[in-house]
Amino acid sequence: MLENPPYPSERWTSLIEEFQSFGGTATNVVQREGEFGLGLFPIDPSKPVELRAPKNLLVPTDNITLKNGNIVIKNDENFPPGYSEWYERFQSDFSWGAEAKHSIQSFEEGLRSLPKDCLHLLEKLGFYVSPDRYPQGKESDAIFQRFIKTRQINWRGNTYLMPIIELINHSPRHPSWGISDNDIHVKGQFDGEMLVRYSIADPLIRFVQYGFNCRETMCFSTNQKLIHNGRTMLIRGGINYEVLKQFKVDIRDNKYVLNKPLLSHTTNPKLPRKMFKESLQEYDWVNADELFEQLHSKNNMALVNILKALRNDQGHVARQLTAACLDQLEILRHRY
Amino acid sequence: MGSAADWHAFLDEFRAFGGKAENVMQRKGAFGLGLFPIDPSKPVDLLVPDKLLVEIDNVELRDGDVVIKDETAFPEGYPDWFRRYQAHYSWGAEGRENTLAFEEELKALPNNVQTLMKRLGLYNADKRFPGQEPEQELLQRFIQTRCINRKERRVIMPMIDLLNHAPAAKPYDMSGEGIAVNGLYDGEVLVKYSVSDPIRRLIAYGFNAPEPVAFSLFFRLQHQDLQVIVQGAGGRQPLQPCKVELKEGRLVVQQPLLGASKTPKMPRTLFLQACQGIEGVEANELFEQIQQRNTLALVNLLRELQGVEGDVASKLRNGCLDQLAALSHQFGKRDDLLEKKLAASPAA
Repeated sequence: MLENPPYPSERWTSLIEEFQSFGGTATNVVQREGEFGLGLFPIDPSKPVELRAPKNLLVPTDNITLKNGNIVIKNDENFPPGYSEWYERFQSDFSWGAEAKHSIQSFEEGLRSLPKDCLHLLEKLGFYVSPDRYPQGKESDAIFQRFIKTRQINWRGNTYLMPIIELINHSPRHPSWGISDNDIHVKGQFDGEMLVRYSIADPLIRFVQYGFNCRETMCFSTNQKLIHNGRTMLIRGGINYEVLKQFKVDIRDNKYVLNKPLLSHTTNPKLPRKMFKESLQEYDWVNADELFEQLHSKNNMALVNILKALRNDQGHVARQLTAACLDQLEILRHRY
Repeated sequence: MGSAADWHAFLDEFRAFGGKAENVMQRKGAFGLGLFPIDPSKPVDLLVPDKLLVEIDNVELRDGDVVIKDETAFPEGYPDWFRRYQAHYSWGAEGRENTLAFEEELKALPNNVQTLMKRLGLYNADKRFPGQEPEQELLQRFIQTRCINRKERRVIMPMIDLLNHAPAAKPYDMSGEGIAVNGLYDGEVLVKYSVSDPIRRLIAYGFNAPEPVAFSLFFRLQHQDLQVIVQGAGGRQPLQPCKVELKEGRLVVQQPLLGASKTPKMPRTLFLQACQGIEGVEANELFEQIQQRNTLALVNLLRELQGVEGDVASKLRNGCLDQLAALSHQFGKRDDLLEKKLAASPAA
């Protein structure tokens, strides 16, 4: 193992050189503080950036653990010699130890201390904010689990962490990672910070899952219950990863369950209503236009109620959640 | 505010002029000073006969007192009673102080908030409270929160103007020879002042109320090939189609109703009715455009208000949230009413 150099820039250079020696690619890139906290930037913006984590360097999420506060690989037999030491250093100096652990801890503590009625509302709308998300006495483990959840990627049926690539911040207006059978990669030219789209989400879901505000390009419904033409409709909120496909409608105990309908889309504002109508076309008693608007109305009201519950809380997370609700209200408008 | 004995003596005088004020007492409640039944099991009966109503142009400030300018049309002794009423129970009790505090705090809102409010037609400090003649301006603001239209006159209604507002309460009874409020009340005697929405109720009166309707704010927008001016305001009969007309090549939409909690299908229905027969307008799309601009404006106002301290900033945040809630009460349309209107129009 190489000795860890004392200066951050030297440590970064040394980390990248070692990563390349294991077969990874990291060209023209450096970590520094940006608008979204620590992120990756091109060293020379006139030249392309290339990052590539080959499959043998991807770390299965069930093969890492916390040891003396550091993230370490449990079983290193499938990795190149020296990789597990490098990975521990990478996590400690540039990822988990650099900023992630503290920012997750601060977010989870802020979330836990939100007004009770606000947490109750969020829970009712389908957001996972119950006490077991961040249980007292088991905080370290909970932070570690949230770290994994916000960094992992699904690859060939399993979840993995991607060394170096996990340091890139999110933007809904950038392409996602490139995924092949052999690697995960990001390439391209970036004027400023290198950004990728982590996944599909809306402002509220992104905030509750990841702890940051982002004006996403679409909104999904939250959990709702309403009466439409005399029948009970249950709406299961959350992300529909296949927005271009009809959502599923189930019938349970004479109640109609709509699964994760898309409600708005900034770049394709006609899509949500179109998909909504197509998904319900076989139910001739449904006035899909009216139901779509009813659902919008319920979602708007839910956001207003959260904002009201946050009125007297001036904490950092309360202000962030307020911003997320306002972003959600703004993005919900994008539908015709 | 004087003692209970003073209050009762005062009411006796009011009765002697022909007014009615039975089973009521002024005291502090959830909305500040208000009127309460003395015995809640018995009805309250308030009446200001037409002859005791005072036109707003006929009041002035004299040595700090609100007085009647021209006393000739009133019963003898009534102008003096009116001066004492204003001094002890209305203007002098809380009215002047509250009006001043609200106006000063509005004026102290950050510039970006004021600019947004001005653009939306909600508040213009230079016009509303320029501060050149502060006492006169205050009196005018105070009068605006106390007056009512009666037989084509704007009048002040003593005694009844002490009542506080609730959106769900009954309106004033204007059917007889005066303005009346009566009935059984468990708690405070409340009345519905007028039709308004939450944000305008706040700006006009200085308090928050979860009004059940929302009208549009002021906007200019582009719809298809048309420039559209949306004249925002409240205070009209909500269940009538708004006025929509082409003026000098622009479409002018006046006070469209955008949300109504008890009749959520009506806002769109009324808008579609109002736009029938107007060429170049896709009414459904325009309705949504107006709805969406309103939502965005309120969201932006809330963003600008984040972190702004003070009572008025907090009230304004509440007003925006209540307005967003009122705006949300809108879905679907009444096809039966639209078909009826279409059948009745000469072109059909």
